[in-house]
This record gives sequence, C-alpha cells and structure tokens, in this order.
Amino acid sequence: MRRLISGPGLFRLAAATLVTLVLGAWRPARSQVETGKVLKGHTAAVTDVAFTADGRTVVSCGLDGTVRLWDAGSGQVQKILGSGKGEIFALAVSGDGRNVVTTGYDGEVDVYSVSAGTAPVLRLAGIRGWSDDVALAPDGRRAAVWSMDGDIWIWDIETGEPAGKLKGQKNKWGMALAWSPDGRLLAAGRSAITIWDVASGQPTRTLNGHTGFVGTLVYSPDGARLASASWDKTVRVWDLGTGEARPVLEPQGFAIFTDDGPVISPIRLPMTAVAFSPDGRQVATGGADRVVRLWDSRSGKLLKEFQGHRMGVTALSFSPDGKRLVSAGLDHTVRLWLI
Amino acid sequence: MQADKMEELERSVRRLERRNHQLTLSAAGLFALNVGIVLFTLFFRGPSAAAPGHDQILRVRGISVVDANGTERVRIGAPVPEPLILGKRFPRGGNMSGIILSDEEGNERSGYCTSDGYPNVLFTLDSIGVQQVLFLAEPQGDTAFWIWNGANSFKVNVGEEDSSLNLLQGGKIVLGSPPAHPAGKGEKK
Repeated sequence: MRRLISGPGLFRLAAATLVTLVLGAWRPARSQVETGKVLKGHTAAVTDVAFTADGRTVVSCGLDGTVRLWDAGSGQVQKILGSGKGEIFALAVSGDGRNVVTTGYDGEVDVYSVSAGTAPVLRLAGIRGWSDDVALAPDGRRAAVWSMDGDIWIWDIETGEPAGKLKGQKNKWGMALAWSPDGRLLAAGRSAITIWDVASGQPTRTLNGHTGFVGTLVYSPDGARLASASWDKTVRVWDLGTGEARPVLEPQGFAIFTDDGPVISPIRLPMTAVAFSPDGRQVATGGADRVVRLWDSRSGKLLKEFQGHRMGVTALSFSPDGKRLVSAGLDHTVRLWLI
Repeated sequence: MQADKMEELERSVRRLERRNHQLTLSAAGLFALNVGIVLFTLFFRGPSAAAPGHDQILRVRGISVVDANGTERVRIGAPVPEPLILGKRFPRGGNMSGIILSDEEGNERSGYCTSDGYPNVLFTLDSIGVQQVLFLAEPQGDTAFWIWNGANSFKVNVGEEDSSLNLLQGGKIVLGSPPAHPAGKGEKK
C-alpha cells in the first residue's frame, strides 16, 4: 500500500492502468508468470544462445564481445571465450561440443576450441561486411555465413579452407541460416526463404510469405518442416512437402514491467527467435515483445508463456531432453526455463 | 625520597619537551600543506576552472551517451555507426553524419543526419526495425514528408515542377493527387 502512494509508484501504477484501460491489456494468470533461472554475466545484449548436445552446458554470446559457457545445472560460468572487444552476433556449437563458431561486427568467423584457451584457434576472413548469423552443419565441420554481396560462404572449420559458395542475388543478403538435419540442404532467409542444395550449389525452393526480415530459421528434427521467425511479427512453420506455412503464429502481448508485476499490452512486435523441441511437437518463440512462448507446432495452440526478460528476446534453444528451454535477451541475461 | 621526586619531575619535563617538539613539527607540516593548497589553487587550476569554457571547441569524430546499463542512447558522429536493431547490425547503405537516438534496448529509433555522397538532409522516426516517419530535403530543393505503416501511408512530395499529396490505405490512393516523382532517396533501411 505504501508503494502505491509513493510518487514513482503512483506514476507507474497510473501508466499501467492507462495501458490496461486504453489498450485493453490484461494481466496474465499467475501460473503463466515464470521468471526462470537468470544467468548474469554478460555486460551487454546477449545475441545468441545454445545448449550443447549433452545438455550440460549453455553457450551464449553477446555485444560485449564474449562467449560464455555456463553450467546448465548450477548456472555458474565455466569459461569465458573471446577478447571482450567488438560485437558478436551469433554462434553455433558443434555436435560433440568441442568447437564454438561465432560471427561478429569485425566480419570474421572465429572458431574456438573449448579446451584450448580463450582465443580463437582459427579466424576466417573474406566475406563482404559482416554476417548476422552462422550455421554449423551436423557434421560439425562446415560453417555457413552470409556475405553482404549476397553470396553464402561455407568453410571447413577443421582446415580453414573454403568448402563451397552459394551464389546469391547481388547484394541481397539475409539474417538467418539453417542446415537440414541430413546436412544436404541449407535454408537462407531474407524475407523470402531460399533452400539450397549444397552439393550442387543450386537453389531448390523458395518459400514466400513473410513481409519482413527473417531473423531465425530452424529445421524440425525430422527435416520435414522449417520454422521461421520474422520482423513481420509472425512465426511460420513451413511444411516442406507442400511448401505451405501452417501454422502461422501471431504472438500478441508486449510485457511491460511495473512495481506491481508484469502487465501485457496487446500489441504485436517483431519476432526474432524460434526453436523446435527435440521431438518436434512444440516450437518456442521469442521476440521484441519480451515473452517466450511455447506452442503446439502442428495446431498452433499456445501452450505456455514465460515472462522474465525485461527487454527483447534474441535467441532460444531446447535442452536435448526437451525438459528445459534457454533464452537470450537484450537485457544482458540468459534465462533457463523449466518446461 | 626527595631524589625520587626530582627524578620524576625531570622525566615529566622531558616528556613535555618531546610533546612540544612533536606539536611544533605538526604545526609546521600543516602550515606547509595549507600554503601548498593555496599556491596550487592560485596558480595550477585547469583552464576550464580558471575561466569558463565559452571559447573552447571540442573537436571529435563522435560522442556516445550511454545510460546506466551501458546502452548507447545518443550518438553524435561523423559518420554515425551502422544501425543496431534487436542485437544485430545492418548496413546503412552509405555513410551518414549527425545524431542517432536509440531506445533502452539499444535499437536505433531516430536519426537527424546528412548523407555522404548525395547531400540529403533527413529526419526519421522508426518503430523497432522499420522507418515510419521521414522528413527529407534534397540538395536541389525537392522535399518530402512521409508517414507510413505497412500499406497505409501519407506522403507529401514537393518538387520544383510539381508536387503531390497521397493518402493510401491498403496500398490504394484514397485521397490526393496521383503519385508524381517521389522524392526520398534517403531511406536508410
């Protein structure tokens, strides 16, 4: 009660009430509010996150120029990679957990060996500009990045040699890349999504539907579907047999945090993150609205919401056993959620 | 007995003499320190303190104002950096110099800039990731004012030979003249 009559508290309450009344906001049920375990350490926005294949470690990177390895059980930092200079936008972890590959504003692709110190063991340069994403093939060797001339470069991270180049449209670069589980196809998203046959270097299919940048692409574990999160405020689950997007998820609800708890304003904001559960039955989504959501990947039914991030969500990853979900945020935190 | 008293008196006197000596040294030290402070204040003050900096010019290529979380909120630069949106950088498509405002999450939301290469001046207001308001003046005098959200927009273009005003809903003109020669080479994203 004392909080309600204090100046700032009153202001925040008034603002929340205004949002509630004018925009028709609603307060989520208590069961929907899960703050999650918060992993703190990054000193700037966290831009990507992934579980290792054994589920024991969470790997994150951020605009503070570091890659952090966290114990997934205790939440403690195990190791910090990188110089702390420059901005890192994306990472990929090899299936055996030995290597971490990153891309950043310096335009280089850095390969870290987790057991070999904190500096990259390999630095791969040559793309124009920089790449906002990096994808590592299931073989753990081929790393793909966008070049801003529109091509997609593929390197062998064991040898540091080029392993292919996909000739894209001139200067038409994108933000998202994903390898198919069999390592034959590479999906690349701008607003349209192009699927490349890597061996032939030819595009095999284009998926049209998004009207904004695609921020993240991910294949379902069986390779039959592809999920895309876009700045057009939707997440689409594409059936690669028919080429149709079904379901099209339209997350609604922007989390505003007040002294009195979170309030949800029913607006829609760009989507930046999507992940398939290991059994492919669920997809998790996240975006500028700060809410992590769990959906049935077939019906599009919303199953659960996780609120805790104070700023936009940038990346998501399921643990291999499907029981946990990890999210990265612009609020400098990594959060672990129990599903 | 008398001898003991004398000895005690002598010890007291010696103690008092030592204390007096210490106090004298302390007083001298404090005096020297005071003199030093006064001299420093009089003769060694920085130029900004000695005189208001009204005649000083700061010459830099950029100034970054960060908030309590370390997030850059205001950037003045020549040029300004590439836009940061939702944790990723995007090419601006050419250098621009001026002022950039970012929200608390680090997303670029507004710019007031001139562009290198083609001397436009422009002012923009952005949602997260999308330009929504544009004021633009081109070097030859053409000007534009655009506001838009997806397929809905209101655009005013004024050129030397013609001008146009268009209100579009769902991409269709519902008010105004047909589109003429739209100005606006200054879209940055």
